[in-house]
Amino acid sequence: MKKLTNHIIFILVMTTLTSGCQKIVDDVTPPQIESQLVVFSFLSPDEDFIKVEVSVSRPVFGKIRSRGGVDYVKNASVVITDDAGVSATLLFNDSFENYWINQSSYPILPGKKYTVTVLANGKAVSGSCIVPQSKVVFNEVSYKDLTNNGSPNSFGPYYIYTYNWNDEPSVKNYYRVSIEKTYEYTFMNDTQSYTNEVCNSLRDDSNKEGAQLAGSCEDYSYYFN
Amino acid sequence: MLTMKLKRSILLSSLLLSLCTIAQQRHVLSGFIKEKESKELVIGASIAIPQVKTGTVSNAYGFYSITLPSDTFEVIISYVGFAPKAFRINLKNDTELNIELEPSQSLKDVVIQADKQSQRLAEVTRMSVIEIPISQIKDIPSLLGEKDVLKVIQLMPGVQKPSEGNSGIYVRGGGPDQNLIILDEATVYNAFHLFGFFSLFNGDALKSVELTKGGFPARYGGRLSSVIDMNMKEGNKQKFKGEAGIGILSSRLVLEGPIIKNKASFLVSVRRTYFDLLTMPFMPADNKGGYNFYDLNAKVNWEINNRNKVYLSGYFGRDRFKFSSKFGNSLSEGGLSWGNATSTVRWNHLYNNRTFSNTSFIFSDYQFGIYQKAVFDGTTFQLNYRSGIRDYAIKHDIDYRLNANNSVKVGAHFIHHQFTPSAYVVKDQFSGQDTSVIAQIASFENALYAEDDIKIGTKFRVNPGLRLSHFAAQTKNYVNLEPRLSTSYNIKSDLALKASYALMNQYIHLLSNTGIGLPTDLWVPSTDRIKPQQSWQVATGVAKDFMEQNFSISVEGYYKEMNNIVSYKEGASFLEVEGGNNNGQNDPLSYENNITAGRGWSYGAEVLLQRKTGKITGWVGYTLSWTQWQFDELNFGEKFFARYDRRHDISVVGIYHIKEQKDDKNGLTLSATWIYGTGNAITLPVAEYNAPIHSPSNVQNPFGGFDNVSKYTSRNAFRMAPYHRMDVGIQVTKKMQWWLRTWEFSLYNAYNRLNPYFYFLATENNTTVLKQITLFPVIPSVSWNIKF
Repeated sequence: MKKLTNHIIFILVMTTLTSGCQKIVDDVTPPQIESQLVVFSFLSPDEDFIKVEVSVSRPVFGKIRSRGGVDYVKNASVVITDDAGVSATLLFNDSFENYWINQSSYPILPGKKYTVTVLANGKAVSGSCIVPQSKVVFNEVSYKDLTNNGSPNSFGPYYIYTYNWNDEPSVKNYYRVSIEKTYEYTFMNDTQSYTNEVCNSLRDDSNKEGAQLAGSCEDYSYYFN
Repeated sequence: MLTMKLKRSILLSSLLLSLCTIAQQRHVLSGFIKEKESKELVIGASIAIPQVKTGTVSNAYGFYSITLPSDTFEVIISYVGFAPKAFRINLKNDTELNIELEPSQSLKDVVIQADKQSQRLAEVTRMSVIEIPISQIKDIPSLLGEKDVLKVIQLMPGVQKPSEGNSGIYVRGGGPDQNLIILDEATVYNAFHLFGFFSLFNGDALKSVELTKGGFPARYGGRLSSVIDMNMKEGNKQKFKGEAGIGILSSRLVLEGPIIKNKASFLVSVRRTYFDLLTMPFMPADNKGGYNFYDLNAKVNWEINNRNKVYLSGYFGRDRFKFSSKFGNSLSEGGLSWGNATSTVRWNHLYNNRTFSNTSFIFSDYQFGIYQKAVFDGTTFQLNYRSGIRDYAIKHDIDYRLNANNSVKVGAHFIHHQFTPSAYVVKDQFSGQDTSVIAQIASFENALYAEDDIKIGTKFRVNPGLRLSHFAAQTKNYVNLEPRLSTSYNIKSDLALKASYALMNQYIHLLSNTGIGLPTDLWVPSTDRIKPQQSWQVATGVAKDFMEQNFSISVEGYYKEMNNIVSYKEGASFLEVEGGNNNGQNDPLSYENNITAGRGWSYGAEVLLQRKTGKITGWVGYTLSWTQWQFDELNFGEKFFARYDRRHDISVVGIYHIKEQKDDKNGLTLSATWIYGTGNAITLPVAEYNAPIHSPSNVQNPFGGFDNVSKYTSRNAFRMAPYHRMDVGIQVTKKMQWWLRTWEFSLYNAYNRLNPYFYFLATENNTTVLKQITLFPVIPSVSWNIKF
């Protein structure tokens, strides 16, 4: 349905535009912005190392550079501090082009709040997060196969997955829910399996603090996506 | 002590008696104002009694009523474009005086006489109201010669000029959903054809158009920012008349005439585009497509007697886009269509010479639909999708002229809304499965109101009003009191200070993240979760008439706050609100998850210098304004400018009747408009960086890959280039044997300004640049019109 709407609106808009007297104007002055610090870090008690990547953004307008390359900042000061004020400095690793420290010397512990502060090129940025007290455990995960019963898409499969879990109270939490489907088949005694991510969503616990959070997702995908 | 009390009682009794005596000496002068030739009722005609410095105005049905002491008076009746009439009347009893006005034969007459007597801007209590003269709409040059009421409204101060391809009407910082557009009492939900290039309203069929931007009287409600109230002509009660026109884009025809002479008449107006008919022959037989729109206005009225009149009016319009292709034994066809249908039955009843009532039964419907059909070897797949809104409403309004100083209006409105966020039917012979899902929501919107236009002495006027509005949404009932107040103080007879306050509630919302007026924009109701939008506005200003020069000028300042305005959440789109599924069940409220509520502020100043009659007519309008929004879930909760925030907005409209057309004389009219508007506020990408992709399935290295991510300016922080344009036109009218013929030549965007429609990023010589699409360069047009 959505695809059909998309197509028809696209055709209609394009027809209108192309049948009009449209012209392209080249000399438009684009907005400019100074490059900014980009800091990325993933803190988890399950990781061996704490890694912080520091780079700078590139302006959109102007000469194009390779999209794959990252402008790493190698001379930054990167410090991690917990809520008790215990801190550690991360050092740049040339091989991985990021700042790191072994968790054996600075462990990430559940329930604690950590702040990463970066000083580079005369700019300072910081970000903090609270490591969840416990891992998320689903209360229930189930699915319905509606392929032959009420599918809005007459031509293919249709599954609905539902799940719920309990939000950890008194903490602002953000969740990422990803559902993967593994399809396995055997042909001439050779078994193959394929895994696809069929749903991926982000949510937080706004208005649901400490309550049960539930979600559902529709899956129209064919086996070979 | 007792004596004192007795004296006071006697004094009080004497006073009361004398008041009663005075009251007994007052009489009511009432009646209807009509055009002499067609017997059309005249809205807004001025009835002035200079001797006692009082007067009134005919209402939307041509009725007037005024209470005066017993005496001999000179009564002057006037209306723009008509020769004024003066009577001497010896008022000894309640008197009914129906008056017929004749169109002015000479522009000079109008200049010299009418405007000295017609209602002055400084004499009206209300402010922020602009009457759009229909005759000027026909004289103003337009895109492809299509005369357009709403485009003329966009030339008024306080109404932001949209860029090309953006149809919305934005009044004092309000969105396009915040305008109540009424045609013969019926609400019109989508007022544009062809993505906003042309409005639904065919000027040929309209009698009056009034725009209210603030100081809303209590009789209006349900929208935050403006009321555009239009009335269709009734049809000539004397003679059969017609008008026809052939333009580049469309042709139109208006026919009107008596059914029973002086008692009943009809009017029919039709318009159709023929772009599809012209291009069809050049398309291959097995691959055709086309677009057209048409609209039909029809009205019948019957004057049963002097106390009762009945009107039946309707509008029906539709835009259609269709395609079909054949290949071998397969056929594929489909299309889009959208349109409004409204119909109103009205009954005017005069209870007595002070009390006038109107009862309306209203139907209004807006539907958007998609259909697709595919046939292969005789097997068929068929899909029909639609969304829309349908209203059934009853309105009862009473005008009561309590006395010379109080004019009371009370009324009750009941509307049943039927929203269809999505409904689709699939008949699929390929799979053998048929599907039918209809998601609908019903709501009730009701209101009671009362207002009183009060004269206090000869200088002060006040119009207090109160509206009680109610909306039934799911399990919640929203009930709100909406106080309204307009005041006016005449420093001199031609100079008035004005101020107003209005609190408004809006219970229905338009979901649109395109902002270009696509027909997919969806009307949805307030629900338990989505609260009604609310605004309050204060305005103050000064109005001055320059009688000798035949000008009026108004300067107004306003401040408006809006709460619970809705917008799509970041990343959400109109394509995600098509009903939506919830465990395989269609959920009509799925749109609730995609929208977020916030606040808005708009303030500014407007100047309007206007000349309605004379050889040279037109106006100059200037608006200085700011419009900001704040949503907790958008732009990190920071305030940002609305896309249509316009710091400066200028419009200049000039119409010069070089030779006026009279019975046997040919006419020549030149016209030009120039508009300027600060550019739209938009969001652009300014930087990019590589961000790791989180792939939970890659347990060993969940951040193994990278994705290129754009960083944008803060929301709407970049300004597009300013919009400006000049249109010029010339109309040559000649009296032929059977009809009056007018050739009109016009140039849209006469100096070929390349105005921005949208911007896009492009790559040239390994460099990313910003480019602009311009829609309309200079466009000449010609049309041929006849009037008989």
